[in-house]
Amino acid sequence: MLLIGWRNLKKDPARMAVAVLGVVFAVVLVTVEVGMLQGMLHNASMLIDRSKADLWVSGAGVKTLDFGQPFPARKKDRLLAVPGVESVEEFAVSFSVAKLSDGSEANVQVIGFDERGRLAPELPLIAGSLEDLHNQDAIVVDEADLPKLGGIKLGGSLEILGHRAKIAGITRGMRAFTTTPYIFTALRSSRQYGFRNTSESTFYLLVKTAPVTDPAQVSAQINSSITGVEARTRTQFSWATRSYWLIQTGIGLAFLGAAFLGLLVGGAIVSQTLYAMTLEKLPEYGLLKALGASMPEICRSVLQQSFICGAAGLAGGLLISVLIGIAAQHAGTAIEITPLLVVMSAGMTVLLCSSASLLSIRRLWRLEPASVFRT
Amino acid sequence: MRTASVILESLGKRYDGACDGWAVQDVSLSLYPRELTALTGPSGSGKTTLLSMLGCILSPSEGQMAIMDQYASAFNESQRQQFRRANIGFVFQSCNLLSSLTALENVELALSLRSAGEDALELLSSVGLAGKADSYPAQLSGGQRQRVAIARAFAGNPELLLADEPTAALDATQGRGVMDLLRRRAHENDATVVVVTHDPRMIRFADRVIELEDGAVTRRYRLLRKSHTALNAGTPMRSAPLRNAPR
Repeated sequence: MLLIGWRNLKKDPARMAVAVLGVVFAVVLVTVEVGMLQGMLHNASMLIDRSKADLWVSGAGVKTLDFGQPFPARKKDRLLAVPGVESVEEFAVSFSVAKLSDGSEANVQVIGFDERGRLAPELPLIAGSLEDLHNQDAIVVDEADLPKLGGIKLGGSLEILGHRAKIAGITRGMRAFTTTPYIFTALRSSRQYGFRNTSESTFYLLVKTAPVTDPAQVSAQINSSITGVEARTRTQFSWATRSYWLIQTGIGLAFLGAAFLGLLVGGAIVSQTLYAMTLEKLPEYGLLKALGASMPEICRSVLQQSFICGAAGLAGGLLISVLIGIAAQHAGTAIEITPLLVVMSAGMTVLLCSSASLLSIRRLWRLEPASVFRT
Repeated sequence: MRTASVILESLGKRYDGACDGWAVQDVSLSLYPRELTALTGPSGSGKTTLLSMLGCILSPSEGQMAIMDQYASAFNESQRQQFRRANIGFVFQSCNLLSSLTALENVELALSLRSAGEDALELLSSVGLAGKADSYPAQLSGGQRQRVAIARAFAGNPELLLADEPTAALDATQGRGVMDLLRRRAHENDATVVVVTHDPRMIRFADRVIELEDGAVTRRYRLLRKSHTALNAGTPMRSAPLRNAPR
């Protein structure tokens, strides 16, 4: 009995190809959309996740890393007085405008950090040196952002808010969620490059807690004792930043909606193709029923067809998704195809194939074995 | 004295809906092993409906039916499915074979349904088609397809073999070959064989004939012949009605 589903497909390669394409379509759309969303969310909280700070302290009510609110830098002294706080470093995230060599302008995001400190995110350099950040006008940019900055090279210069900025290093994989180029620089330089960035204020304070202390407890103590700021553990602030983009902006809904649409369209294609094959073979299924084949046995042959198309479509879809991911990587867009996403796509394919078979199974359930006499 | 393998008592089938009415009504008869019984009658006389009830495909609306000592008229759908799978071989007028399987695989399918350990190739050999084992139905002639269907019906050596117009789509020579196979099966394997036909040339292969009209048995008689060989040679037969039986 198990042979029949595969043989029916083999006898009708055109229909099989359509069904496989339906699965490929759904798998690619879901995998790429979710992978892209994962990549974007990863980028959104990358600076937080790569930092060595146990706590991130922001102005009260800040929802995401990108839109920090400046608050008095003297709060740093108050923080140092809180039990369990070992060290504190300033961290600045501010928007700005860079004037490129061809005279055009580009929006940039200036990231200022204590280049002698140990809590800021580590920068994976592929060229240049972090030591050069000690120089007044030195900046580090990501290789993926170089085209946006006029194709500038290591050692080249930009003008940010009227101040010269020289490329002292180039990173890999440090792109912003908003795709606005990051300009990494020393804290004091960031004050001349970024909007609303003064020596009396700061955007974030990175806190290292003392060994054996619970960061969550220290965070709670800061929130209860210091007004105008909000302390969160690294994980909490990372999730807050991700959830802002994912939920509050609706971006996540748009991506997941597109993925769901792909699932529906792919499912409809597979379902209709299988149903057409079932209708064509209806007299043969009637014959099987008349010969005494049970419904579970008949269902298995339909499911077998569906899962063969599903397996072929999943393999093809994942291969195409990986190729798209590689191409996107070269174009500077992160598509994260993780093992979990592969497992999820496989699970989704099983669900899709099972659902697509329901229409056929329902028809076969109603098929009378006596129909064999009418054909 | 022989024991009947199938006993029908006042059996009837009523269809509801568009074709409202009795398709078969008050049929009482007995069928025996080692006999080929021909069910004949004009179109719409209830032959196929009666065959469907004998094959446990349809359940009767009234009356009682015992097949191989089992009270088949009381079977539920699941019991009917299991019973026909285990005990009944079918040959249909059309839609006989699964088009995506070879001749051999069509027979193997029936063997796997019955969990029978017979050799599918031997069954094909028994109908003279060992050389066509790997052919698909589309590559076979109508007569060859029907022979494969007969080999499939023989799978598992069922005690009851039912055939619905098995020669309708065949020429006379192929039709005689098919009827001969069915008759030999009845005589050599103790099977009870029932064939629905309205082809008078094929009726002569039967041991007994039951005529139906408007869902009721109008006539039943036994055919007497000298020998199997004589039949194949086309020797005229003598027929002797058992009784002219308006039931």
